[in-house]
Amino acid sequence: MSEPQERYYNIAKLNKVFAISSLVLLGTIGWMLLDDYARRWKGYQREFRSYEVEKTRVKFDKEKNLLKDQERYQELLVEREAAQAAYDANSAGLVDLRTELEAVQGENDLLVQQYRFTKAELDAAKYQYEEAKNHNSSNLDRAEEAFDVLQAQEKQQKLAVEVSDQEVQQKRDAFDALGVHLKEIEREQGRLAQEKTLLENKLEKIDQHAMTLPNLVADLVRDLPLIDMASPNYKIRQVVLKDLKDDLNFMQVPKVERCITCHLGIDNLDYKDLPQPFRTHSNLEQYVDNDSPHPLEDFGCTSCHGGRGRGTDFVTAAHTPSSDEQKKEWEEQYNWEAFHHWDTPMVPLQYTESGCFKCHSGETVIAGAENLNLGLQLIERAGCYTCHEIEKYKGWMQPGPNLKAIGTKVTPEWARRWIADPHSFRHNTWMPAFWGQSNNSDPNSQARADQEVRSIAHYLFAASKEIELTDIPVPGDPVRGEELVASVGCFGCHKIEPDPVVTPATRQNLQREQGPNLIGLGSKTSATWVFNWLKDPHRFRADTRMPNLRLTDQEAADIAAYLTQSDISKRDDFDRKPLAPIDEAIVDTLVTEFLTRTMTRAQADEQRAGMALDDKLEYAGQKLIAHYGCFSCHAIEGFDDMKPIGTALTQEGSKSIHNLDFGFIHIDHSRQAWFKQKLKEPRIFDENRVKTPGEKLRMPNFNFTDEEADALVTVLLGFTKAKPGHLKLTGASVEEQYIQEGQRVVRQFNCQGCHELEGEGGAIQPKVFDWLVKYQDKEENEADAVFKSFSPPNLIGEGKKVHAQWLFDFLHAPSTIRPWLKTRMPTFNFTAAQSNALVRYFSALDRVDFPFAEMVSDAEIARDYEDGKKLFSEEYLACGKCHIVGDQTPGGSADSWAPDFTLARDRLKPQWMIDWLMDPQALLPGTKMPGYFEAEYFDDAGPEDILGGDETLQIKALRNFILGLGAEKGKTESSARSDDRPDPKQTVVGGRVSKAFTVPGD
Amino acid sequence: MRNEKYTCFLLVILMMTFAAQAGTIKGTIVYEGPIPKLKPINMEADPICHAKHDTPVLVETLVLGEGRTMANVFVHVKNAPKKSYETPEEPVVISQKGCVYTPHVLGIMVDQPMKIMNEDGTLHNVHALCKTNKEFNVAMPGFRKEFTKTFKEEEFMFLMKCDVHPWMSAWISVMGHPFFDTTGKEGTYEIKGLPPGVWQIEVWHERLKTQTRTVKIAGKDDVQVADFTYQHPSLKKKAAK
Repeated sequence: MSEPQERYYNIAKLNKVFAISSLVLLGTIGWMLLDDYARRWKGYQREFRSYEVEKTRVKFDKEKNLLKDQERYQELLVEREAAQAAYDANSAGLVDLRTELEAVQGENDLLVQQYRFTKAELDAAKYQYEEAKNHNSSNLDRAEEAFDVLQAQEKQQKLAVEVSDQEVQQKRDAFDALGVHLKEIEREQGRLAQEKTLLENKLEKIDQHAMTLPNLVADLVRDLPLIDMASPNYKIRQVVLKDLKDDLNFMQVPKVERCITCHLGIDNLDYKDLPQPFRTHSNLEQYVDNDSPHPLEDFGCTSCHGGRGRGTDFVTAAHTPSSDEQKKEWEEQYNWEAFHHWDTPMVPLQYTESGCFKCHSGETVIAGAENLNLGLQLIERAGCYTCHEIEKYKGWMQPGPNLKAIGTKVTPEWARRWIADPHSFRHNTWMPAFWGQSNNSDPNSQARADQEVRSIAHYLFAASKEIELTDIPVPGDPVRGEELVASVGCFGCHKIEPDPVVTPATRQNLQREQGPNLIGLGSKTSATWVFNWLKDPHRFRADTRMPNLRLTDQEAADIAAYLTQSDISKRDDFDRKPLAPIDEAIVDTLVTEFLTRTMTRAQADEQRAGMALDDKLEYAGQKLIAHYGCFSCHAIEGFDDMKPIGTALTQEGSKSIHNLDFGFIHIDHSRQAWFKQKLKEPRIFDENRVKTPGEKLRMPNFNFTDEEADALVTVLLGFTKAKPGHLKLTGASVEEQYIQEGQRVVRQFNCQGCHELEGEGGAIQPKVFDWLVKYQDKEENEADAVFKSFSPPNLIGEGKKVHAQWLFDFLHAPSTIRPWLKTRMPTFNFTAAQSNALVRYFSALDRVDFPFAEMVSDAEIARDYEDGKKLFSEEYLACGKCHIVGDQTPGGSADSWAPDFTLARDRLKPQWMIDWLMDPQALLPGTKMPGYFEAEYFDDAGPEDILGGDETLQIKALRNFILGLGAEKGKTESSARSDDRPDPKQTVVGGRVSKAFTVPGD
Repeated sequence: MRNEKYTCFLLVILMMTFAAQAGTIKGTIVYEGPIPKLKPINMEADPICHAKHDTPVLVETLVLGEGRTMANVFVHVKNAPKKSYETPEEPVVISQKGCVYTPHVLGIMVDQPMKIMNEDGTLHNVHALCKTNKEFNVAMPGFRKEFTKTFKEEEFMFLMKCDVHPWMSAWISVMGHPFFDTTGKEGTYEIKGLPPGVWQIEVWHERLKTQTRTVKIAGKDDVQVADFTYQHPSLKKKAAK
């Protein structure tokens, strides 16, 4: 026998090892399956299901009780029983009826068949007859005969079918009638109980207590491991967004959003009080809901919120906490950590509005996104777009004043104090601080700063051109000046706030910071300069945003006196601030540093040695202006067409975190944390870094509050590379483009500082209130009631109201329309492009045709003349009691007057005049124009003895008569012009202007 | 006016089961301090208005009776019980006569009709500058003698004015309860039908603002007197102007 094979291992031992390891392996597989099975989201879905059952049951009970209390439903129950009984009782008759119906129906079927056959034969006979006729066949007679016979037969059978049809119908009606009452009751019952039935069905599906046994078993089994691949209760839920793509390098795939796997109650208001993740989304009218403008199915979640849509657990969905407390809480509860290598983590809740900007970037004000709107307006006010390229603000004007003629305005000493520390002169200036910051406050840097500022001022004044100033022709009165400042409209754009006032950052507040806080002008400049500036700001800079208020010499002198000679004009402490003497050594260092950028040290030394001190200062100044980017906000001689010095921000929100230099500052490594830190303390990232002066950070400090910084961070996070599909972008239609273009002009010239537009603005109104109280002797409660009618007009419906040509002309050369207003529409020196943009904007807002509106013919005007005149007269509607008609002014003071009717023809659209006469309050709430033809009293509104008392005709006649008043004026004007006399329109308007603006009692 | 209010009180009293327990608060309001010289209204702007007066019409910011009693002071119970009260069907009437509103200060209940008469035969417009209620501005040309409006919401004191004749103004208060009164030249008011309780009586004057006092109605037929005195420094300032 063969020897047992020699083995170096023990089988028994090995069997044990195999047995154990296979058990371990089995265990691992089990563990794996279990781990894969027990996902956290399933727990959420289970929890949600219990909430769902609870809510549904409550609703169901409520509905049941409602039905119980509903009389009609209870009645129906009784009625139904009766009807059922009647139906049952009739069942014998029912059987008979059915048999009869079947018999008749059978006969009918037979007849129909016969008829169809005959008809087919007739068609064949007809063909043969025609054929025979055509060929003059010998068969003609026979064919004709056959055709006639069949035709008669067909007619007869058709009749029989009709009779039979009728009979069938009668029988069927009789049969149906028996059950009809019962069916009606059932239908009404079903309608009343519809909600209840739906809820009941739902409960049967989700509530284990309400299920049938087989259903319950199925419900329990379907979620077991492995079996759950078929049709589980608990499964990943997702939406696929066809229009929106995720960019996976070199490939674009549709976005897939699985957030609703856990956020289960997101679109259902029933769950608005549940804890997260089940809570309903806020504002379903705007978001998520299918009927909202942003349905979940089209937009998903991450296109607004960021995050990773495919993630199905807390961390991989790239949630981001909105505060440190929340972060801690999440770390404990969910083992939260930042999800690495995902470029677009969820935006913290407080910055969510940044998502709106992706699609709404063309809009100036994005409805509902207040934080974002504030941020955008802050960018405009601070002028961020001048140093940092931002696509949205391409072509916007420089925010700072023109310094090309600085020498005529301020002294070099004043300029040096100002540049070194602007906030010490004007606490709320938008000029940011470059010096005295965290990276340049050590003694060495300070000494250097003095010389830097000196060099910059030196250059500015050396390059300054002279603008000839005319002397003030009349002495000014500061007291009158103060009143003028309060009344003519300065406060639409300017404030006068000698001391800081804590005001929340609102857009309306920013509207009043369009121009500087007008304090300390006596320290800054001369009355003569202010006078010249007020008289014609565009002489100093053609595209300045400061408009011309067409002030008389006296008015300009008074205002100049107030601004430069009253209490608010002094800044003695500022004027006394010491100025450092010149330090040539430091100036030399500055010069050398700049020279060595382009030459060797030896060459630089040689060149510097050949420069006089003035040359050195000028050279260093020029280089420093380029270094700090002063030219971005200010027009400076020699710096036209320079490139901006800051980082482009158009896609800043998509910037990789690794490209942000956090230095040694311990803050969260997130974009929002970096942005906020940078905005609050722009130089902080230099802390503990070793840098030469030229390498240091140079972004200046705007002293943003936390609120402002947060608003700006929201905007920056919205400046992303990823733009959703074209379908989602707003601004696609021509109207939207017109509106957006117009809004840009409106914003740049701050129209909303005075006017209400698109439901906001009118920032000047509180100051009009103040003026009424202070200068018009009005009590506060009275002023509160009337201040709107003394404020610049609300421009709601302007597109429907005025002719495009008139508006264009008016923007070019405004004239007085509302003589009772002390604020006056200034001349902005708009370019034609800007005026056109505004005119188109108003048309687009009101969805009216641009540019021309319908006209009323001269014949129609002539036809209505007599009736209109009568209506217009004192005895009837007495329009002339308030309205000016050419040279005829109403009695009393201008306060109670209304616009000149001779302007109407050129200004007002005929249809608007009709609408206005019908209901002025509807078009302009609060207007002084009373309603003559209010809908409530329409039929009794007009006099009975004109046009047969027909109000509609009366309104038309009145409108046409008023249009005629403008035509008459037109005639006199043209005849006057031919005489080469001054344009009467101008003299009339001019005369009225001076009359209207006379302060009563003056 | 008065009669209507009494009718309304009567209704309320009938409604209340404890009508017998209703109490009354009354009082007189007087003015102390220098009397400002009031400006006459210049009505020349509208000759029709001008012709209606032989003597100059003064602004109605301060109207005093004998013994400096104050007219046009509105008195109401600030903490009146919140419940629904019968709305009087009788309208409150405001007349426009001689281009002046009469009365100058008035209270009206929610849904109670307000009838506005034009006896001048010239164009007036009735512009109610209310904020809670819907603002309205209705023209009343000479041929339109009257029209009626109601207010749907409670609203305390808003201005009603005529934009054609800017001096015309009336102060209206839309009340949710009937416990209010307006003083005439004799300066007295009376609020009837108050259930027992501690009530805050507030008086309101268009320039001199408000004053409040607490009055306790103990029980059946209790009559309490709460007099007020107005004296306002700003009046002196205005007078000096």
